[in-house]
Amino acid sequence: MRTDSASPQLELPVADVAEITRPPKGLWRETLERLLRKPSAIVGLTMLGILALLAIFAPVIATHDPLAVLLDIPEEGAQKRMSPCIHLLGCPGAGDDLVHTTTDATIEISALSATNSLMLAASGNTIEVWDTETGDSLMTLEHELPVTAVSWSPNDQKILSASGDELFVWDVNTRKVSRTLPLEGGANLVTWNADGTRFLSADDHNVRLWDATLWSQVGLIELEDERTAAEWNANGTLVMIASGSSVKLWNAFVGTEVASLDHDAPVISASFNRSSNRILTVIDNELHLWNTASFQEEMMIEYDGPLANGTWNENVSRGVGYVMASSDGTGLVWDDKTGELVLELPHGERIEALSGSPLATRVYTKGEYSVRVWDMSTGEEALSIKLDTPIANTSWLNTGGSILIASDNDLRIVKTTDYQYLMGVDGNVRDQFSRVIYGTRVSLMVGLTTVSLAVILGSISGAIAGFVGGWVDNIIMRIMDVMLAFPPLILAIAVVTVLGPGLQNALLAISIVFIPAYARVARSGVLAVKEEDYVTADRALGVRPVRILFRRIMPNALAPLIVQATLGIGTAILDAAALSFLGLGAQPPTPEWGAMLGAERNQIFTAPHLVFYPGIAIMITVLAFNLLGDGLRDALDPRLDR
Amino acid sequence: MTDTENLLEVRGLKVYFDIKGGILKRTVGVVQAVDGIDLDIKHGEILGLVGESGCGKTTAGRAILRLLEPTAGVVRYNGQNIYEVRHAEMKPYRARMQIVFQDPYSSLDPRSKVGDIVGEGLRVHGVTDRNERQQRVLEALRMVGLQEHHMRRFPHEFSGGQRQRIGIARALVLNPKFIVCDEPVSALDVSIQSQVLNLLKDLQQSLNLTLLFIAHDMSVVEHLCNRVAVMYLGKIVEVAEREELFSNPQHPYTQALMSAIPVANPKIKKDRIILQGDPPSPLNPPPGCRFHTRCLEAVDICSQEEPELIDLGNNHLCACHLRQPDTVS
Amino acid sequence: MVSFLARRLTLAIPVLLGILFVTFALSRLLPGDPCRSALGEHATDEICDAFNERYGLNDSIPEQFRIYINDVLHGDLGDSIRFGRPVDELMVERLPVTVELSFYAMLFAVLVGIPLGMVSAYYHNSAADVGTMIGANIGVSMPVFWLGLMLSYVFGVALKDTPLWLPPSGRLTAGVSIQPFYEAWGWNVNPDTLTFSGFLANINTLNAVLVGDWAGLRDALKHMILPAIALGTIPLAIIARMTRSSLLEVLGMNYVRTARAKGVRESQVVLKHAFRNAMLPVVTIIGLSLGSLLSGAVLTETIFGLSGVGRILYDSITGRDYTVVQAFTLIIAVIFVFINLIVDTLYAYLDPRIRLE
Repeated sequence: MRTDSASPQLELPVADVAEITRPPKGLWRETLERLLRKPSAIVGLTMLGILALLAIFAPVIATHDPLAVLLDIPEEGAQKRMSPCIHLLGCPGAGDDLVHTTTDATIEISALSATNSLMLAASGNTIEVWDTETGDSLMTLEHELPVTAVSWSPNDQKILSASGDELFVWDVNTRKVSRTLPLEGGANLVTWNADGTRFLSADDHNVRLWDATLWSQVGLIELEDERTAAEWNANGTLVMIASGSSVKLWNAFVGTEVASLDHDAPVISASFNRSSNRILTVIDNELHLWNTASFQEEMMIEYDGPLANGTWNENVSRGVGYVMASSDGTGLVWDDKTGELVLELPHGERIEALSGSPLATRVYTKGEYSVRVWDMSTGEEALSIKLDTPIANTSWLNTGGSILIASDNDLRIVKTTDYQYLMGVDGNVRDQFSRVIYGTRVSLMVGLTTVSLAVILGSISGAIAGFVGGWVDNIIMRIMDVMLAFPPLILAIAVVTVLGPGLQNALLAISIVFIPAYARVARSGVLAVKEEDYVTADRALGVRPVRILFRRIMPNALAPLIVQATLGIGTAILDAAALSFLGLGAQPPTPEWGAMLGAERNQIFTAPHLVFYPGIAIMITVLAFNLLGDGLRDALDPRLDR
Repeated sequence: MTDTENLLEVRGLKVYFDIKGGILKRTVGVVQAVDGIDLDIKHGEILGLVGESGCGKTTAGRAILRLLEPTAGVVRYNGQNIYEVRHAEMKPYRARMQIVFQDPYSSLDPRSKVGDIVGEGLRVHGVTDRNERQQRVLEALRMVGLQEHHMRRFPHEFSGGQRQRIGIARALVLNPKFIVCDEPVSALDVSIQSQVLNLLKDLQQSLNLTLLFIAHDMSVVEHLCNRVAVMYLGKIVEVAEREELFSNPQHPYTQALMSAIPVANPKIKKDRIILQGDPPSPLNPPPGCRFHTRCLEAVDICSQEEPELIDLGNNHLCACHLRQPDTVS
Repeated sequence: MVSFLARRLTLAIPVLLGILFVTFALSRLLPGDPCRSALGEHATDEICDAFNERYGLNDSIPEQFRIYINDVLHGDLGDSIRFGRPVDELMVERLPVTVELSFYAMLFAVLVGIPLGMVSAYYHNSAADVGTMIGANIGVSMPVFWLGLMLSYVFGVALKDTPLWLPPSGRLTAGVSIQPFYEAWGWNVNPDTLTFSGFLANINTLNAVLVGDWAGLRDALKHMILPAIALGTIPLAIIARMTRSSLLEVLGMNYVRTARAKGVRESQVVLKHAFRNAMLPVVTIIGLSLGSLLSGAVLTETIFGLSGVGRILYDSITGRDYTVVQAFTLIIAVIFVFINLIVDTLYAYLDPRIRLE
């Protein structure tokens, strides 16, 4: 219906002041809710939460002091394991076999290579070689006659074997005989000296010295009485031979006698200590300790029973030293300085051998059918291994956590402790797991402080450039352009070199390198917000420019800066790790992941887990920040939402 | 016209913007956004400033408040040239002269609470006591029809009309004498526009305010203003009392604007004047009368000589060669 | 286009001057005495005086800077204090290693990253997409040096005795050498002086192709695989992400819908209409990644035993070899600036809108 009058007056509603267009939520709360709808942000936040907990509770979670050199016995076998050993999932405990292999014939001799990465066993005419980690058989060295003696060269590259009237030098890489040397009368003992330049071969009455570069015999020592011991000193210049009631020292180069240590009765055993400055000999019920500089007797220890198997048990870096011997079924331990009897170890079965672990924290005693491991500090038995077949040979592995046992056709490495080093032990015998856990603290700290510093400096300079404009803008941004012209890590390396290596300086260098990125973001944000009417309103009110910039403009220009900063934390952690890796950042012994990687990088081929875990830790931390940053970017900029 | 009658006098106000370009950022052009305007604003009046978008009216409004530094000219507030006042001493003038913005969404800081937005001016102007500040913010909010609980809310919780009320409250809280209203309703829904206009009118009367009301909508201006100035391409082309202007527009541009006002009666036939083409670029304004390129009545002189703004009588000023006092129809 | 290039070049001048200043300042700020680090702790004061005199280290700092600028402008980068050789010779020797490494790393990143990103965008939200993006996220979070070490372990040790084995370090197997192409071609080039031929001949794979030594090429390429993967993984992840998001955006555009509505074949829609436009941001990101490759090169070269720019830079910074540090940071920064310039130009070429002022 049309009317001629003016259009009908619209009834305009009174201002509806209660009308609310959106639920009353703060801007931050809304952003947070959007953020929590992003799967990546949730994953990132969760990961960061866990990392933060690890960092805060590191002392509780870590099993060891991250800086302490372990005096406990490092667990053998963890050295090269990539997957963490979790006890509940069947991690081997004390008494379990780490490796178990079998041969066709009864094992007569077994031996570990110097680095312990290989082991061999001689049975009948053959020598078989295995990988100590995996138990994989690597080679079988066939002889025409039974093998009577075997020795590893100190660099693991050669195996020396005696069979019939010949000496064979095997090359481990080619698996072939590289030399055959005639040996009159054969040998029941062959030994390399410490640097692999000489070796000796011995039957009961003759000891021959050989040159391992010319491959010729350089000396022959003929003995009146049957030989009871023959041993090289630590630097390979002297040979000690015990026969009858005397122990004689011979010059290894020319084969002449240097000294003779005479006893009243036949010498039962004789051995050098680790640094070869003392010799322990056993006669009847007496122990004699000799000085090898003066060739004088230093000490005599008496026991009320016959003694055998005299041996040293010392660790120089811990400053402890003992001498040990057995008296029938009892193991005996004396202090090597006072001569005081420290421990009596009731093995039971007659003891055939006893030996201290490399750190001198434990001892094993070996009978014909049993091996028992004893704790040196308490004298308590830690482990007892009983077998049905006679035990031919036993020896500690270098790390001392396990024992190689050869018995009948079986060769096994038995774990002697329950200790678990989840991620193994690093090159300085520190618990890798604890170091990785403590590393969380360092890396989170590094990421947060560098980025905070860079954001503060960068956003202030960028904000001033954008707000003031003109020549101030020009100068600041040209400086930033110059800084951006250098690859970041190279600039950081240069700055650290100027400041001097160290974690703090690395942090500063990375902050400096990151300043331009934040300055740019801050500047563009400020430029955009500067033109908003609410800023003009402030100027109309007469608000001071400084207050406008920092209280009005900056909070509103912050969102892209927050995204950039979160993503930047990841990069900062990576760069800090890289600097530490290169030795310019965190210095040892700080448990910083990059530095740990750098310290163990040469172990990559032998112990990859030492490199693997710190790297994974870096990756997880960086990933967490990146995921959070991605989520934040989407949450703060809904346009990119997809 | 005596000086005492005018709260604000604008003389020869020019605002030019440099366009930088080229390799060395040389100035390659100048935008003559406001090119020499004269304007008197009397105590207690509402002066409308109308023109197409881009004609420089917003720039003029901001320059009058010294939110932009002018290229030339004088703005006298109560006889004092505010461009001569040092920046540090502008504060008292800031309290007297305020602004209400066009876009209620970008004119309120999304991260501040309403109470803080409105109270910021008080804080700046030395009201340090929190309670007093709160009291005065509340007064201002009540004046624009908002409640106490709104103080604790954020701007995004309000509708456009409500936001504009907050903007007005922010301007009012310092008890200003003069407010520039920069198209305060053009961004609002039509149904809300009249509310805000009525509010402005009421406030103007009850507080005895002087308003410079910038608009492009003639009907809004007719509803509100006492006097109207028409701007075209940086120049004032006509100024007159409202009734005078609407009943007797003189400048051809004003006449074209008037003819574009819709009338709510379909039976009334109107002779609409349809202007041809777009307004020329302020970068390169045409010589002579700036309107001559689109003017239906243009003659030779229009493209050569710039017309002066002259009084045609009855306080009706017009800048057109064809409208001299003796030729007024 | 010419004016665009001219403008960009002019803008680069103050940056290049700044770089000159920074490289000079950095090398003077390095702590330690260059004489003692070159000649050993026991060099006497007289010897050091002569040494400083010879290398101009006794002049005032502004004078040194003036001489430095003058020398650089005349193409004289000075002699290495430690190697006792002209720096430009070192550069001919080292730069090709890094150029070759960066080239293959980028090739790997682009050839794998772009298709991955395209598949990911086209099958948006599929398992392939999610998998790729998780992989990309992990890729950008990995430390380059760790990845390098793990690769060399896996391919160099764990896969030993399998066909997948790859050499974990070096540029060529010991004993293998490739005859420089200029010798093979009978050119008269002195290998000890600075020549472009020498530079090219040091790029092993290129040289092998030029002389047709296919066994050598195979060997050189085999040595390049692991470092290139290590260095290229981060750019790969970045490129894949960028390709995906950019293509996703373009595929949602109306002109793509129009093309589909017109009945254009799907492969044509993606490859012709969408891909070209989606490549713009990808080109930028490739350019930016080229710069960060140089950072990664320091680490990669350290791990894989390649004696390139990164390695010598690290060695000379720690060894206080002023001239080498100066010259190599300078050349890297200049390369960096010019890469950015090329990227900008390419961008302008691809997007005609940018050429408009």
